[in-house]
Order: sequence, then C-alpha cells, then structure tokens
Amino acid sequence: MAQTNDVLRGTLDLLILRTLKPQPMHGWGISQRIGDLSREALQVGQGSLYPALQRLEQRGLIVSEWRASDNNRRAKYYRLTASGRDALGEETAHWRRYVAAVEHILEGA
Amino acid sequence: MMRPLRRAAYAVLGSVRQVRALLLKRKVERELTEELAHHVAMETEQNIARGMDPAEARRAALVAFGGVDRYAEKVRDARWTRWLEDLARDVKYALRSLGRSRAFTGAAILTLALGIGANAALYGLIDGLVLQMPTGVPETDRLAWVQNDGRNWDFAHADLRDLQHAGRGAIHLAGYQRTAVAMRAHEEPVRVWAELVTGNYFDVLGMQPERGRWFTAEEDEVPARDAVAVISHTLWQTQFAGDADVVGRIVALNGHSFTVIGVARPGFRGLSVENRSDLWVPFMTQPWIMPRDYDLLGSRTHVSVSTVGRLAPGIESRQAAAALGVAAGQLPVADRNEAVIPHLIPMRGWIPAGALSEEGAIFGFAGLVTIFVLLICCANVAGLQLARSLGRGREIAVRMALGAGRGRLIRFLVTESVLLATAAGALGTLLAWWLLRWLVVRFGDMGEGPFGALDVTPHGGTILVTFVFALIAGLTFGLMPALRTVRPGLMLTMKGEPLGASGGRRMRGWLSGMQVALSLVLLMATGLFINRARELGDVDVGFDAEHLAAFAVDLPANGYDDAARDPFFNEVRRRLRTVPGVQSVAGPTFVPLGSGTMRTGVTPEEGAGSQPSSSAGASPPGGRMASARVPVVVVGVDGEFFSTLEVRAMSGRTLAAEDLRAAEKNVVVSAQLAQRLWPTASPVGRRIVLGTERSVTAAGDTVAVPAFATVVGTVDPIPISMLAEPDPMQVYVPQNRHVQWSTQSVLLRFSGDADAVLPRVRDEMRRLDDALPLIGLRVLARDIDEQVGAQRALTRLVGGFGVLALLLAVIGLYGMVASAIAGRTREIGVRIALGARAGDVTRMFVGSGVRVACCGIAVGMLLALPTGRLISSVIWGVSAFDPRVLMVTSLTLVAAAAAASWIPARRAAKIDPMETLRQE
Repeated sequence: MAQTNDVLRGTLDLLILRTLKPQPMHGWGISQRIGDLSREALQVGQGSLYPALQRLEQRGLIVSEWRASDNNRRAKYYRLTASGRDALGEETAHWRRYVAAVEHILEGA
Repeated sequence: MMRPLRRAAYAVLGSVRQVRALLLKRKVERELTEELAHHVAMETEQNIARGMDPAEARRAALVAFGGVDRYAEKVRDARWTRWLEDLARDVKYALRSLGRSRAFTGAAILTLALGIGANAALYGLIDGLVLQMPTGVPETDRLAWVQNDGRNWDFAHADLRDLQHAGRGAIHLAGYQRTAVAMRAHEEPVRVWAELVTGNYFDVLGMQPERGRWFTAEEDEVPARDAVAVISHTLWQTQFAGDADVVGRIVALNGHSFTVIGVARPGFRGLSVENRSDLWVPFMTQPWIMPRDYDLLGSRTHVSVSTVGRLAPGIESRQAAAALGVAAGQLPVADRNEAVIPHLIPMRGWIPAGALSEEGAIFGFAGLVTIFVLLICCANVAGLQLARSLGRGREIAVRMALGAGRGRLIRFLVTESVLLATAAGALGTLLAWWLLRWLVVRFGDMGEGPFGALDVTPHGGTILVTFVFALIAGLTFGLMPALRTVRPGLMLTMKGEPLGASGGRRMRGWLSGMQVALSLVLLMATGLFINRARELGDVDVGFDAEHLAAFAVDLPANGYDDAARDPFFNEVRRRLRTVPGVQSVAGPTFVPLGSGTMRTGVTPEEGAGSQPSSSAGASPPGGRMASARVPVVVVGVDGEFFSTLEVRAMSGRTLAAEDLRAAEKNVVVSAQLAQRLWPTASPVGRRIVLGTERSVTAAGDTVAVPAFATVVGTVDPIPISMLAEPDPMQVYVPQNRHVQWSTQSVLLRFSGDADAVLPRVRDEMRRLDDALPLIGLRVLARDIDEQVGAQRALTRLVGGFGVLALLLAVIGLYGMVASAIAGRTREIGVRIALGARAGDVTRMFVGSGVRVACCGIAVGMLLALPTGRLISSVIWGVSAFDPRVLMVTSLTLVAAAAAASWIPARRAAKIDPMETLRQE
C-alpha cells in the first residue's frame, strides 16, 4: 500500500464515474477495476471509496441497488444516472484541459 | 435547459435517500455493514485465489481494509442528515443527563423562569399599552394613521372630507375628535368623553357592533339634523345598567336629545390608548356637542381632526400615500397658512405620541430592573452550569480522549442549555401571565388609567419574545461554560485533577460577585422607595384633608358665557352654605393636590429696576442678591380659600372677599418666598412684580408694563401635589385676577360624615342646574390615598424584584461555595488529616463566600450611586442616596452571604479524611 500511489485528491469522483460508465458495479469491483485499468499504478483506499460513493449518490450522479453478484453474493451495485453521465463528460473535459495545461508548463519550463 | 433540471431532480432523489436513511436508520446501517462485509469477502476470495489459506486470506483482507468500523463511520459522516441524527441523540442524551441531576435542573429552570417571566410580563405590559391595537379591529395591518405633517398632525374638517372623496380609490379615511360632554341618561348628569366621528368611522375600522347598528353616511351629511349616538360597552353597563332595550333610548348630550343607535364591543374605547372615549356621534352633530367651536364644520383653518385610514383592497401603503399626496395638492388654497401634507404611518408597532410620556419613565426604569434580573438569572444558571461541568470534567475529558470533536461537545452542552431555556421559557410565560394579572388587578382600578383596557392574556407576540429571551439566555449561559469545559487541559483532568479547578472557581467568584453587586443596587432602590412611601404615609399636608371636599364644573361647555360665571358661583356659594354639615365654601378656586397651576417668575419691586429703591430705605447687603427673578407657582384662590382650608397667616393677613374687588392687586405669598425676596425685612405691604399688564400710553399705544401686586400676608406653603416636587415658592392671587380655566373648582369644608354630606351637596347643585355635571366630587383625603397608593404599588414592585435578586444572589453564592468545596475535597481531607479543626475549614469557606460578597458590595455601591440619581431624577421624592439604606442593605447581603456559604461549609468540615485520601 505504501508503494502504490493513492488516487489524487479530487480525481476519485471522476475515476468512479468513468469506471461505472460501461456497466453497473459494486464497490469492491470499482476499486479492482481502477487498479486494473491503471495497471496497479493507482490504488483506491477503501476509506475514501465508500464515502465517495455516498457523496456521489447524494449528489444524484449515481444510484445504487442490491443485486446478486456473479458469484451469487448479495452486493450493492452502483450505476450512473443521466446526470452522472453529464457530469462525467464535463469532468473529463475539465480534467483533460487541466492535464494539457500542466503538461504544457512542464514541457515549456 | 434539461440538464440542470434533471440534475436537480436526481439531487432531490439523493436527498430523499438521505432522509430515508435517517428514518430507516437501522436498515441503512445494516446495508452499510453488509456492503463493507461484501468488500472484505471479495478481497478474501481474491486472496484465496492467489493461494492463501482461507483464514489467512480473511485476515489479510481485513488488514488491507483497515478496520470496517472506521470506514463505516466515515461513510456515515458523508451524509448531510448526520447533524440531524446527532441532534436527536444530543437531545436524548441531554434529557437523560438533566434528569440525572434533578436539583440542578430544577434550580436552573426556576431561576431562568423568574428572569424570563419578569421580562415577558414587562413586554406584555408595554405591548398591551402601546403596541396592541384596540380589541375587535380586524386586519390592523391594513390600517394606518394619517398625519398631517403640515400642521400638528391633524386635519381641518373640510380638508378631510375632500381627501376622503379624492383618495377613496386608494384609502378609506375616517376622522375623529374627542371632547367632553354632559350626558344625562337619568336624573344625574355625568361628564363623559365623546368623539365626533365621520359617518364611516366604524366601517373603516371594520368592527361589528355589540348591539344595534353604526352610523349611515347620510347621518353625517347635514349639520344638526341627525341626533344619533353609539355608546361604549362600559357606558352601557355603568350608565344604562346593561339595559337590553338601550338601542332606541333617548339620552341628553349637552342638553340635546340623542337617540342611542348602537353599542360598541366590550373593550373598544376609541383608538387612543391614553384617552378613552365613552360614546361616538357624527361630526354633523357638532353644533350641539361643541357649541363653542362653531367654525369646525367645513373649516379649512380649524385643524383638529385626527385621521385613520384603511387601505383599499390590493393597494399598497406607498400607493395610498401617493394618492393622498396628489389629492392634497388639489385642495383649495383658501386662507390657510400651512400646506396639507398627508403622511401614512402603519398602525401596528407605532407608539402613539404621549402614550409613553408619563408612564415612560417608570417603564424605562422597570425595564432596566427586569434586564438586571435576567442578567442575574443568566449569571446564576451559568454558575450552576459551571459547577456541574466541573463535576463532569472527567466525563468530558474521557469523551474527548475517545475522539469526540470539540465542536460536537460544545454542541452537546449548548443543546442542554437550550433545552433548559425552553423549559424555563414555558414556565416563564406562565409566570408572566400571572404577574400581568397582578398588575392589572393592582393598577386596574386606578380610575382613568389606561390599565383597564389591557389585554392580559399572553398572545403570540409575548410568547415569541419570551422564547427569544429564553434562547438568548440559554446560549449565553450555555456557551460560556461549554467553552471553558472543552478547553485543553485534558491530561490534567485525566489524572484526576478537576478540570479548570482554579480558573473555574475564579469565574464563579466573578459571577457571584456580580450578582451581589446587582442585588445591592436593587435592594438599595427598594430601600429608597420604602423610605419615600413611609414619608408619604405621614406627610403633613397642612390642612384637614378628611373634612375637605371638592368638585369641578365646566361652565363654557355647558352654555354659560363669561358674564354668567360670577353670578353662578355667587349662587353656588350661597346655596351650598345652607347645606347641613357644610361649614365653608370657596369657589372658583385652586384646589390643593392636583388642580391647575401656573408657573412664572416674580421680582421684588426694589429689584425691578424701573423704580430706584427709595421707599425701602437702606437696602440690606443681601438685597441685591435677592433681587433676581424667583420662579414661583401662582395659584388663583377665592376669598374664602384660606378660611375653608383653615390655613392661618404667618404674618399679615390672608386674602378676603374684599380683595377680589379691590382696585389694588393684593396677594399672599408663602413664607419661603417672602424670606427669599426680603431676607431681613417684613414682607407685609411690599410690592412685587408679577407678570405684565397692558397699558395705554398718552400717545394711544398699548404697551406692556410690569404688573405690581401688594403682599398682604404670608402663609406656610400648601402642597400642590403629593407626587410632584413641592414648590415652596408660592403666590396666591385673587381668582378673578388669574388665568381662567374652563374647568373651575369649588372647595368646601364640612363636618361629620362625608357619605351624608356629599349627596346633599350633589342634590343642591342639581337644584341649581340639573344639566350640569359635577366632575370628581370627592373628599381630598382620597386624592392623597390614591397618589400614595400608586407610589406604594411601585415600591412593592421594585421591592419584589429586590427580594428576588437577593434570593438569586444567595443561590449563586451557595452554588459557588458548594462547587469550590466539591473541587477541593481532597485538599480539605489533607488539611483535616494534618490537624485542621472543623471550625477552621468552615471559616475558610464562609470567609471565601463573604469575601466575594464584599467585593460585590463594593462594586454595587459604585453602581448604586448613579442608579439612585437616575431614580430620583425620574420619580420625585425618592432621594438619590441614603447612607442608612445602603448600610442596612450591605449588612443584609453580608449576612445572607455568610448564611449561604455556611451551609455547604459545614458539610465540608464533616469530610472524612480517610475516605477522600483513599479515593486517590
């Protein structure tokens, strides 16, 4: 845990939304998925994952429901709402602009 | 466009879930646990898949997770309903903890309730007197006073009628004007207050009649045609004995027959709080009601009509004001001097001018007192709270060590305070209600006073104010100890040292000292009032008030002209002297204790400057000093005045009947005035300059020249009023040389029983003129009783607060010493173990209590002096400072402080050293 990078503060919401875009997932799945997609470069601490899910649900960007998981356990699945989809678009664009700007500065220096 | 909408919808949905989370708390909690458990289970499975054995896999998963409970808590924190949940828990916990310390809870609630109750009662009183609308007037927020800024607030009758017409789309105006009339419903004529009103007066107010009907518009159209009257409920009960057939009855007003057409609802006595009316008649009856003001109707210069308005539906106050402004601009210019400038003032919340003038000072003082009391109460509860938090220091330190946030703890402590304050507010409201009742019962029968109309049921406003008081008090006394309590010092407390042991005690000392100071101020004020009340009780007015009676008549209002005045009074004196029991009659004359006087200045002839002093011979050295103008009270008396009062001359003689007719103006002055004007010489025969008189010069011009009067004798000054400052500088002039008031008094001395003599006086006066009302026929001693009674009631009120403050200070001191002892139990144990005697311990704590009290007394004395000055400047006769009162008050406080400290101190002395040391 100490070796891996924690997800940058403020980007967790974006990562969660992005992860949920293709299909609904449960919490553990989301953390696995973020790890996989980043090739284990990013590790989502459980301590921030669940409060973040709670926050997003509260903002109406995701909704949750209890379902049976692949291996027949009951799990809480989250999926994007329409407004979550909108937010994802905006946040992604915003993130890209931000990264490009930072990159620009780093290159130019 | 759609996006934000949709987002809002989902956000609402999210919130709904939050609320659901609150409502279905247990279920949601279970779900949360389940979700986190699922996470761990999945992690475990993965670990197994990686080749760990199941037990190790689970342990690794848990380690990776880092404690399920911690994350559960974090998730819970992310919910905004969190604070609501916490609040509910705080309230529950606060109730439980308050219930555990019942003595504290009871004392705190009672203390606060006293303070809040006193304040709410005062607010209720002011509200009832000046803020509250007359009962039975609906939709008062649509009503407004309409004032004429152009001239003394009132309108001329013709202007009002034009404005009524021109502005009727925006505002419905009604006018009224109050006047005294002589009414005869049966044999006995009485003087009542009538209001001339516009025909729509009651319709504008929107009230319903108790009986009969209101005026119609036609009844206020033609001068002196429709003689109709509406009477007040009170008049109906007192003068018509509640006659069920009163509508249609004929009643004489100033000798003209009016038909009663309606009765107003109980409590309605006109719009003015301080000037209550008994009946209403249309303006057009003015030729009968106010025969002397012949030019009122249709006048544009006679400015005397007060005006109210009701906004037309859908019209705002601003629009109505604008409409009236336009209408005023179109009024005929006529020969008026001032422009008509209508100005709207919403009725609710406006304090009518003059309503507070007289009582204002007393209210201001009472307000100061109640705020003092509330402060003391808050200080006391803060002290109690602090004492309690000292005891709870350990509990709170443990909570903090377990991770409770400081904000959380403060919030919990404040919740507790607010709960206490709410309970106290409820109790305080009850108390206020009771206090108001007492006030109304006590003051309600004081004749024309405004208290009779007071609505004493505490209504929304009072209750609201009470709770605002309570909340402010709760936050004040709750926050301070709470902040103290959660101050760092955690480790110390954990080690067993009571939290903030020395700091807390010091603060308690301050609080108690402040209370003692404040109660000293109140008790001292009480003492000063008691002094005054006692003085009033055995004041020597200089005449036998038990056997003197007086009444007044208003001749101009009853059809007598100036020429008829002297023959009338000659006849009154002649006839009343024949009444059995009556010994002496004077009138028209000044009546001591409450009739009209005039203030002016006099100078001795020697100092007037117009004539060099030649006749006086060698002027004494003090003569120049004495020549300054001396302010005096001038009263007009009849030739029989002094003989009726049985007041004898100190030197020279008193005035006699001949002086009324003498060419020379003869006067009597008080001995003090004579002493001041002529310190060394005899005053008899000397002349004074008393005002000016007109004189025609040789050239035919009228000029003002000094008016001289000759002093024929001196008397002891006669009290003008019991409650006003006595003015020993008095000049008695023959009544016919004095200002003529429209109301003239007759004074008479009688022997025997007043109940037997006064009715005979009344009968004799009725034989003389059976339409003339006698105003206030009474024995003079009753005037004294009434004035002294008012002062006594005020004394009792202030005294009540003083005793209350003393009680509170004692509670405060007791709490302070008790908590000091609780905090120093171990120290006491050690002291006793080392050989301290019980007496030493007791003395130590009583000493600490008395020391604090003494500091408080010192501060209180500093406050007492300006307070005393304030009181004596507001209420005459109360001295600003009395060393005796201050000493008695201080000693009482010291004794009370000693007693309050002794009770817990004695307990301290009984501490068993073994027991306390074992607690270590």
